[in-house]
Amino acid sequence: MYYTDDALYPENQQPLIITAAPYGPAWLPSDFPEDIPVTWDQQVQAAVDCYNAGATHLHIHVRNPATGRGSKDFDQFNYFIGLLKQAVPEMILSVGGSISFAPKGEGEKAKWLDYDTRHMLADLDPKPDQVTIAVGTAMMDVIQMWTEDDIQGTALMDPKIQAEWAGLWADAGPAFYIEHLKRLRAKGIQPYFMLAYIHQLEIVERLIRAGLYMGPLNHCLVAIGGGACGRNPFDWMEYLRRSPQGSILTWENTMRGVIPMTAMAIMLGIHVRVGNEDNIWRVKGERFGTVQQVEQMAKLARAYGREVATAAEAREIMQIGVWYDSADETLFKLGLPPNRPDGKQGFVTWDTTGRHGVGAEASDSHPMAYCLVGPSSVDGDEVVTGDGMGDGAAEEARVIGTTDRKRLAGDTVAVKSRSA
Amino acid sequence: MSGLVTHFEIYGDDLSDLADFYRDLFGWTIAKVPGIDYHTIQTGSSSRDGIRGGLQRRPIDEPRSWVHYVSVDAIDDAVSRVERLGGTVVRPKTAVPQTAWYAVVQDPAGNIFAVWQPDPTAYPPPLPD
Repeated sequence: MYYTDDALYPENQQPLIITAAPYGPAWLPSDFPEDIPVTWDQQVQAAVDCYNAGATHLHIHVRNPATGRGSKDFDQFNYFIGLLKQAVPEMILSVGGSISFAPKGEGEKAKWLDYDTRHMLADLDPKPDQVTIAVGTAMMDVIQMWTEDDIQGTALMDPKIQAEWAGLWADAGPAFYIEHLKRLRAKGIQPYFMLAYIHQLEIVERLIRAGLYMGPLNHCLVAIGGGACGRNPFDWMEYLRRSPQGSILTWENTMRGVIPMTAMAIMLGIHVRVGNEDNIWRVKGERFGTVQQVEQMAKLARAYGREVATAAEAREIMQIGVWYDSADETLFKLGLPPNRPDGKQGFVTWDTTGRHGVGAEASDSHPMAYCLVGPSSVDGDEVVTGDGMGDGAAEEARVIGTTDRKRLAGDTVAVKSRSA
Repeated sequence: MSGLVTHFEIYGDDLSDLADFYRDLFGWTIAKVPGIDYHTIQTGSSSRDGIRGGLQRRPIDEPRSWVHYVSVDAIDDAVSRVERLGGTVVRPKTAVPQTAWYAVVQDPAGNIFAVWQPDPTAYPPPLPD
């Protein structure tokens, strides 16, 4: 991202998109009974409450109401998405992609082959707006960064459960993500990139340059530690610096790391994610539900003067339903340099007409002339000179614009009018 | 009240076909619960007639039979008594969230049944999965 002088003024920033993650798949309902929704009604109500509090982007996991545990049932996902589309039709529905759907009976197991159980996310019906995708296999030991205070009163206090989490890793090699991106595109579901560190962002850029992903880049820095980026703000800032100018970036942290990281994100003009999936604490020892977290984000943004996105604005910012048709188009829209043409050496830039420069001959003008005339921007390459009477230096300066005036002022040049 | 047979469950793989079978056979009212693989069974003409049942996917291959649920005041005590008296546990204490605890057990002759403790605060216990 590039920051101009006025980029930190809230009126120049995009309205804040608040992602709500209210389904806390790592938790058992008994870990936070007042905030972990279990029944279908409760799970739908969680989305409605988050939306009313200001969240316009919903990170979805499904809990099986019959067991209270995370669901791997494809039909239940479809059922729940259907309920959400009725209850919060404007909200952006983003299904958490870290799931392998499970067969329903012993007889079906043979049909369920490896990545096919994950690619089924592309077949959800009704289709969600987005499915999250990891790009690059990484450890996902989220509890590594947590303290005993962070898991107080939860099942994660049990060393056996901790051991399970300590072995968790996200399998996201090219054999998975290339095919998955292809299937999501075929179904018109936008991928939402969940990236653990800069080098996974680099993989995404390679995918874009190879034409394997062509569309808007919505991505989230998943700073959850344990194999992913942690809580070093310099890492966050470097990720921000390396993010394409035209991408839409959200920051995610865990536990009480969420609050400082999201506060920074609000000031920096990017977007935030909150919810009991990431954090259950307001301050040490005080529980903090998802809706309260969304409200805190909205309040903080407004206090600073930044608007909170409406659902329509969030859809426009995230460019839901938008796809590009080429690697070049994707690179250009994201503000990335083009692919290197064959034989081209040195740094690559987008082609221009080469007509932006100004002729540098004739004799009567002084570079100062360019500094004395009020600037008037030009938006094309066409240089319009003076009235054709031979004294066009000042006239020409009026239409050339600031950049060329500075360049010309630094050179020892004079200007040739159209009539010269 | 403890000791009452409260409900029963029938298991299968194609629940829709099995539901049709019992509808045709007994005239039961069988309805799918939205969003989960479970059908409720009403055996009488109203909910107060007879006992109610459920139809769901088969959790284990064998043995094949209906399972009757017997209400108990304390599930842990009930399971302990089953074992003390020569029975065995087939499925340990499990939560039906915000509804009840149950455990599937076997008597000394190998017959399977379940014990059921209503509890609106029941939640799944921590089991790594």
